[in-house]
Amino acid sequence: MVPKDVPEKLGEMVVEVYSTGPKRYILTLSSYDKIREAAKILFDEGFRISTITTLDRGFYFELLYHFVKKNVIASIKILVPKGESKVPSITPIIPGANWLEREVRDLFGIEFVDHPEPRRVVLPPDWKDEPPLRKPVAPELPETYANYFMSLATKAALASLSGLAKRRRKQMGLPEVVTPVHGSKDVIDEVKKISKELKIDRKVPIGGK
Amino acid sequence: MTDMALKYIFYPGCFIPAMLPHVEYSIRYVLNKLNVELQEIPDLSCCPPKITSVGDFKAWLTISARNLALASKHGLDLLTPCNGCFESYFEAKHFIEHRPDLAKDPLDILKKLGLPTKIESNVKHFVEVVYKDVGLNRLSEEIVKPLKGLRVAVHYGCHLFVTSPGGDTWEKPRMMDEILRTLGAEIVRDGLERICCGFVMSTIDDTKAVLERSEIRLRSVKSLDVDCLVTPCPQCLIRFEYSQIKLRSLKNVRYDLPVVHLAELIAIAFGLDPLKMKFDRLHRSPVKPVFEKLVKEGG
Repeated sequence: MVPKDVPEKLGEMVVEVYSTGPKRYILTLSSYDKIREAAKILFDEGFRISTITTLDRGFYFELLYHFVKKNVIASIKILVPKGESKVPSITPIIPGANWLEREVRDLFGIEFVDHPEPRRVVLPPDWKDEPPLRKPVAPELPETYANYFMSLATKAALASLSGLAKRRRKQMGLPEVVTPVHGSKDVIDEVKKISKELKIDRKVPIGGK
Repeated sequence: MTDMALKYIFYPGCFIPAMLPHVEYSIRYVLNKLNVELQEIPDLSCCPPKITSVGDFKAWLTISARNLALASKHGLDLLTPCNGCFESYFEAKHFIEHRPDLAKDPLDILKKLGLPTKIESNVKHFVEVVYKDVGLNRLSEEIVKPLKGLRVAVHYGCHLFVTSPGGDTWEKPRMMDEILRTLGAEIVRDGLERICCGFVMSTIDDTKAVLERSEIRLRSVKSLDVDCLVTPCPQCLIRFEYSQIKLRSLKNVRYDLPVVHLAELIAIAFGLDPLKMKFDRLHRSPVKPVFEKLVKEGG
C-alpha cells in the first residue's frame, strides 16, 4: 500500500496515502498515538525530521511530520481531537524534534507526552493568554445550520415542492414525485432512526432555543 | 448505431426538481435521446450536503452512505446532475473505501437498519455520463442543430473539480469543454472559471456573496462579449441569475447576462425548442435572445 520510497513497515498503520508530486507523499496514520512508532520506523531507515506543521481544523488538529531522505519527502499526517490535545512525543527517539514539538505546544496548546524538556521556546515565559494559534473549539452545530439539522433530524431534510413548482412540473409532463423531493414516511422514519442513534435529535434546538 | 444499455439510479437532488424544472426536463430529454435508462427509487433521502459534516461528520457520512447502500442493493450507480450531491456521494464513497476508522460507526448503523454495508455503487455526474459512458461519438449522432456561432463562457461549479487525493482536478471540467465543443459552441476564457459563485457564502451573508463572489465573475464574463454563461451546476445557475437581480437593487447595475444550464444547450442541439417549452419564462436572466438565435440559426 505504501510507495516503495518509504519503509514498507509503515503500511500496517497507514490508512491513506497520496502523492502531491514526484517523491512527495502524505501518509495518514490510523491513529495519532502511533506517531512515535511511525517516527521510529522512518528514523531507523535514515529519514530525518524536517519540521512539524499544524492546522487547527476546529474540532481537531491536523499535524504533519515532514520526514526527508535524499529527494524523498514523506509527510506523516495525524488527526488529534481538540478535546484530547495530547500526542506522544517523538523527541525521545529523534532529539532533533525537541524544538519543533515545543513550538507546536506553545502556539497550539498541544501537549507532547514524555517530552524531556517541555518548556516554552517561542512564547515568553510569562505568557498568560491562550496559545495564540489555537482557535476556540467549534460548537457542535454551527448556528447557521441548526435549522438544516432540525430538518434532517425530523424529516430527513427532504425538500418540498411549492404549488408553483408542482404546476410547472405538471405542465412539462415531469413526474409528480421525484426522489429526494417527496415525503415518504419510510424514508423519514429511517433517517430519524439514524438521527436518534447518533443523537442528532438531542443536539438541535428542536422546539426552541 | 449501437447502444450499450446504460442504466443508473437518477438522483436529481432538490434544487433541480423544486426550482429548475426546465433543467430537469432537458436532462431527461437528453438522456432519453442517448438511450440512458433512469431508474427512480423512492426511498432515497437528502444527500446530505458535504457541509453537514462540519456540524456532524458521522451524521453526514451515515446518511450519505445509506443512499449509496440503497443504490448498491439495486446494483446500479447513482447519476446526479447536482454538483453538491456529487461532492457528497463522491467523498462519502472515498471515506468508506479509505478510512475504515471513520466509516465504522456509520456502517454499523446501516447494518442495524438491515442495509448492505458493502457499498459498491459509485456516483457519476451528468457530465461524466455524457462524456465518458455515452461518449462524444454517440453525442454527435443526436445533434440536429449544432450550436454554430455560439460563444460561451463556462462556469463549472466548484464541486465538479472534486476528485480523489492526487487525482486530476480538471478531468471533469475538461469533459464539459469537450461536450460544448462537440455541440459546436466556442468557449471564451477569462481565467476566472474556478471562482466560487457565492452559493455557500450566501447561506451566511447574501449581500457579501453577491458583491464579493457572483459580481466578480459576472463583470468579467460580461467583458468577454459572449452569448451566454453556461454551467452544469444548479446552484451556480440559480446564483448567477438571482445575483443579477439583486445587483440591480443594491447598486443599480445591470449585467443582462444570459445564464443557461449545460443540459439545455445539449437538448437544443438535439432538436428541443426551448421557446415552445417556454423555458425563457423559467429563467431569471434574459435568455430569450440566445434561444431565438439557436432555434433560428441552428443546423
